[in-house]
Amino acid sequence: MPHLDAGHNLARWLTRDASDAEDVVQDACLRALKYIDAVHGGEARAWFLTVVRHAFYDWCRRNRPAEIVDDEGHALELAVDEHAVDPEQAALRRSESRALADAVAELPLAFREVLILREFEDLSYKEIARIANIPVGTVMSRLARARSMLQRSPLLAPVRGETQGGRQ
Amino acid sequence: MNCREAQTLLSAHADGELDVLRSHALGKHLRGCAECAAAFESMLALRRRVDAEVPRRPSCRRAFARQWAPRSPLSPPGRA
Repeated sequence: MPHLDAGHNLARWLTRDASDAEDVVQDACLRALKYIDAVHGGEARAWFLTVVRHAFYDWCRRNRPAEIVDDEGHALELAVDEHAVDPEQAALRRSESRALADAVAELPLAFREVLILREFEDLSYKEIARIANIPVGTVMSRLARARSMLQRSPLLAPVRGETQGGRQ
Repeated sequence: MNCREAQTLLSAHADGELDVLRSHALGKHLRGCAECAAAFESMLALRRRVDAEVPRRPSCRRAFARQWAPRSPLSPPGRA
């Protein structure tokens, strides 16, 4: 299956679990094999990532319906809840890189998926819009907010040299 | 362009996704605004860190190969 690694990377970051990611990619492969002859050249990767994304959302509706948050504002509130984690505790067990990876994994789903498609798959905003079935302007705003959330993530507070409740 | 508008465009500018007019206007603003220029540098630094430090998830290709490998009794183990 072409682009299996890209599909697995997306599924892994969306599900945040190795076993669940394999379930999603396996389902996506079964779906993709039915139509693979109709896909050509450069479209193939974006097409397969679209299939993986659909397989993930179907899986998510069955297994984690609460994670599908349509209201971006609500998702943003969840993301910047500074009481959700204890930065000092986090600092004890995370290296800087691990903290950054965890911060990416903690992003709300709608923001995480556009960030993964951009940063790891190096897709254009237009390609991401097609995969996620959203307008290009929404890709732009979600990426901006995803990065803003990362910069303000409480998980990165120890890395920035901040203590809980304020800067040093 | 004011700072509020500039801040909303920094991420897309870092990705090279702004059209020529907005890119030009934002570049002009950044040359005259130290605060927004610092925010842009911070955005670029974040992108570099994500690129360098956040791991791509390991492939499941090997696990899939095992699971989906043909299991014909005519194919002896260890041979293609």
